[in-house]
Amino acid sequence: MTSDNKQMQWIAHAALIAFSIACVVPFLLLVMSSVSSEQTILKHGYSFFPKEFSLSAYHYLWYNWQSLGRAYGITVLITIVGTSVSLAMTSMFAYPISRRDLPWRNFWTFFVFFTLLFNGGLVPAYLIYTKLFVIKNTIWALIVPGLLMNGFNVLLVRTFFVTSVPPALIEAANIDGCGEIKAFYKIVLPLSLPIMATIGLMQSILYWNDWFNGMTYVTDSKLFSIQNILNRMMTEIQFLSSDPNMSTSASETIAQLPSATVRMAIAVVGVLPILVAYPFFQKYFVKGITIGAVK
Amino acid sequence: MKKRTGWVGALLALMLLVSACGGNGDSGKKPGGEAAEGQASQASGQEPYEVVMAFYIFGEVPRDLQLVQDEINKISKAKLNTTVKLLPINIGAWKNQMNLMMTSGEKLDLIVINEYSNDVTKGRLLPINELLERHGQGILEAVGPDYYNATKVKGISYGVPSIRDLAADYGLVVRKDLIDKHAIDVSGVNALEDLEGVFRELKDNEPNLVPITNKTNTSVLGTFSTRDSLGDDFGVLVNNGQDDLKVVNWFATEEYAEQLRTVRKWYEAGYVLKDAVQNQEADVAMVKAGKAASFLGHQKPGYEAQQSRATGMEMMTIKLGPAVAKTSTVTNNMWGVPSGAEKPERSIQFLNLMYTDKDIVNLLDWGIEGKHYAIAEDGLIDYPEGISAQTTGYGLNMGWMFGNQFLSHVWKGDNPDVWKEMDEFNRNAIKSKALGFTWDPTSVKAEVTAVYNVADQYRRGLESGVLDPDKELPAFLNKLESAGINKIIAEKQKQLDEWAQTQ
Amino acid sequence: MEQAASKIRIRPRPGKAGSRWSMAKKFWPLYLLMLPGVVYMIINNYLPMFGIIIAFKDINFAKGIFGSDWVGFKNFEYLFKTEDAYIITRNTILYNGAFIVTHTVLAIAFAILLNEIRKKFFTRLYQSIILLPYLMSMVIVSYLVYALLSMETGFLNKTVLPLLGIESISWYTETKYWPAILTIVHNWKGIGFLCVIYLASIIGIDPEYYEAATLDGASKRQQIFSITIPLIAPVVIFMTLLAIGRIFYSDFGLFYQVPMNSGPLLEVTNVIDTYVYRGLIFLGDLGMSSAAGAYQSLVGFVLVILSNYVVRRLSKENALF
Repeated sequence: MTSDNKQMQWIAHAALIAFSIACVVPFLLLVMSSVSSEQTILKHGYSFFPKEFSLSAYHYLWYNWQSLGRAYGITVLITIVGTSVSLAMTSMFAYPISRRDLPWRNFWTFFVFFTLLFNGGLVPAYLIYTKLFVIKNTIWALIVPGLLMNGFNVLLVRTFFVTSVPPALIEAANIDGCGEIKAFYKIVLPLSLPIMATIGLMQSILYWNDWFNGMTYVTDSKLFSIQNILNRMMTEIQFLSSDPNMSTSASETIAQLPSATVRMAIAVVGVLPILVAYPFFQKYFVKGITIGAVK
Repeated sequence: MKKRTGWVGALLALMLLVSACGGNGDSGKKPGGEAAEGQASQASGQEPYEVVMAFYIFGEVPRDLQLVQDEINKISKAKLNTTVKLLPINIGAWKNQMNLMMTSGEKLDLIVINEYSNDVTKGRLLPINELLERHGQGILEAVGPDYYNATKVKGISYGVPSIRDLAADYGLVVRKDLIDKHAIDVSGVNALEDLEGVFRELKDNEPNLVPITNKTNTSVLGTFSTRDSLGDDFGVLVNNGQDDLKVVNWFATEEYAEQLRTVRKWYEAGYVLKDAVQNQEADVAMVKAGKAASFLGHQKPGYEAQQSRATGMEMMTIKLGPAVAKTSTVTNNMWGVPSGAEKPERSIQFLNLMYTDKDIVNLLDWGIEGKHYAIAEDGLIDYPEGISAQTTGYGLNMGWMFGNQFLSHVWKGDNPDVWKEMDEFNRNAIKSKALGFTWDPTSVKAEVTAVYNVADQYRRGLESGVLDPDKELPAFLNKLESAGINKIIAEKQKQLDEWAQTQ
Repeated sequence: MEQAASKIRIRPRPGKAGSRWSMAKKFWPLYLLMLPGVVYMIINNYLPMFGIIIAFKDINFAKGIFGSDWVGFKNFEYLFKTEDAYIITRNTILYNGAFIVTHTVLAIAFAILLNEIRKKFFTRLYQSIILLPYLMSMVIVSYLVYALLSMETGFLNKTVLPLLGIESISWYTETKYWPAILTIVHNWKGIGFLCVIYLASIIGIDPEYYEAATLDGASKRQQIFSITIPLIAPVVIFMTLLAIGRIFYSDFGLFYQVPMNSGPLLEVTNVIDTYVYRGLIFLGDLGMSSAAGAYQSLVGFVLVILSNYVVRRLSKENALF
């Protein structure tokens, strides 16, 4: 048995190290290009050992520090608020439909699944959010539309509940006089920390990386999130450098725009904070194993 | 079951509510309808009104936008009792945002137009000829009858071009230092084929430099033209529309094949980027980085100075054709009144200021005097002491967009007479016979999508010399035909003939 | 689905009175929990579905969405009328098929391996690292791929191939490499994410199962195939059903940006989404883009219903609804 175990360890480490290298190397290339000089990249190409170092890309971003700082603040705010509310709503919706005894259970599951397959598109959603709820150019615009809860997460959590929350436990609690809502947060939630951490991570990535809501529902630049700004820079370069009509007039603007190295710096600036925050979630992945003790 | 019908009902009710709000409600918005009672000539007698003016920008919203807006409002309030709210939207979000704002009927009074044909056929714009005659005499005068007529679709105008370069002449933009250093003779160069000699010398003397670059998503030839594209290049008038109104398939012409062979020769000789099709950099950036020596593009007076500033090297131009005015050169930047505008006459009144009032134009173009620019003794302007391009609070630098650029100050480094030259350039430009024809592809939408896909497959490769025209051009033409290009051309010819009869 | 629902409702629960009143009494707290989610979904997902009418209209902004003219199925024509219809449909389905299989197998494999690792430090380290690609946007990924494959500056053509004595390859014009390249990029970018999901379900498995199995002398291999995989089957099935439902959609960034929109590759890189984008970039027709979305959703919907039916047949437990 021990040899069996050891062999498994070897295989696991070998496979994961190989895959990890495949993931890290490109990221290193990204970081190295962001600190290369523009000329080096255009002349000699991307390299792990750039001939000439330069922080000009980060200088460019630094010029915009005022808006960047503010945007970081907004991003952190929407990520925290959005993820918390999202976790609450998702688990509250998922738990009842995970219960095999819930009347209309299949209908509700389908109700959720249907939203994953069909959507009305951007225009009607925009009409509803701006006309009925008037959230254009408010912080809600960055939190609510599309992101707050998605069917995918609901069904994922539901599936987790089905497999990992023994119905007997709930019935026992009920018999002990513990109401459904109390049972939910006293028993079900603690049991589901691993999935909550997963969903929490996914939601925070979603909020952190979202630029679409900002582009759609926000025109006031004070409310731009970090990804809004980064995405704006990206699309601008692509747009300007490819529209043959506009550029005679705008070529001066093009030349001032960031290019190769800044794009890389933008990516680094966008990704780093979430990497830093990641270990925070990780605690719970491992914790899940020991939770059996609660039973 | 009961439960279900219950919430279907609720859903329907909510939908109706939304639809009630969402409908654009075009009642009472007949152009010029309210104009009569407004008595525009006595502007001061009008009730106050705020014009929301949307335009696209590159980069960040200027820090001092509000200050500039306040200054503008001081003037427009006094003259028209109108204030303006500037609504800059980043170019990346522009198209989407305009679609959304207009479908939901948000307040918009004045917008920049960069897709005229689409905007007109989709009903995004109000007809404005009558309004222009009543409230926009200054605009009509500044634009001039020729260019004004170019905006008319079936006799109706939906927008006016900003006053800038309204024609285009194509040519090569090349580093002057290299031409001088290697004493390359460019005097005899006046066609695409003649460029080969220039490139050869550049390549021989500067082996590390690519003689000619293209820009992202465009081919080497993508920024060169000898035809009137009639909107989308699918069915064109050859020779810049100087001959007749016969719409032809550009890709099947001998001229096109000849151009492709020329570029193919360049490519094989190493004058073009090997990665031309995937080039991720703007042409200017390539020159600035010292990787390329030149690129093709369309030009205008003051263009050399502009490109020299952009690349940080002295650039010169080699003209490869006359300046030509086509519908596309006129309509690619216009101002119009969106169909949901509440008081279109007030929009036009304000627009009129943008074509006649020097102060307003300078505020929009350069910001506030003393704060964002200073006038030197020679009448040219520059940043004030201690302010630079990076620190200025208003650096939009988009004079070509805001109304009449000829009323604006000239920036240091430009020819002081640049506007006079540009005016002459516009006046003297030869005009395509189809100037003023705006193509409406609605009836052949399916074919147009298919043809765009085929073009995406072949054009950039062929026009950068990466693909061999002898092999791939016939395949391209075959696919175009089965995608329905002939149907598009026939439709275009029909529309063009109808248009010609009304001229 | 309604039948199933009523079956459940009718079936009396042991020890509970079957009457509606007591049902309501028992379940109202659960419905209360669901309320915010249901309301949100109605607002965010169901109300906007009226937008489907846009696909059947010739949108005119002066008339508004509801006032625009009906045009029947005219907006759908362009999806079928072209000879490229076959190519884009084939590409979309084949790629998605390959993605579903490779993605699922690899992600499960890595999740199991991750779970096996004893040292927690390494588990965390690997997890962070393999999630890295997921955090990058496709645009950035496309630049990285370009840095690898470019003719002028690419790492492969400049460094690796010369070492091996192979002539440089014009990657962006050779169609034969791209099915493999796209599959690799897709997996590379997405596995970390899927792996985290599967890992969460594996961690959720009651350790008693394994303890019992170990006592019975079951090998690791046996444990994986007879405990882990059957127990995470519901999640796998859910993920797969979802992927099937989206089989007519594709990741735009992967098929447009990663090949750098290279024309010569279109034969193997053009999918429905990119076709629609290329065709409509200038037309900008709302009706036509809605039509494409409606078509993609409908096909996905039919396929999901069918697959779910098959799953139900095989094992009622694991069916989604």
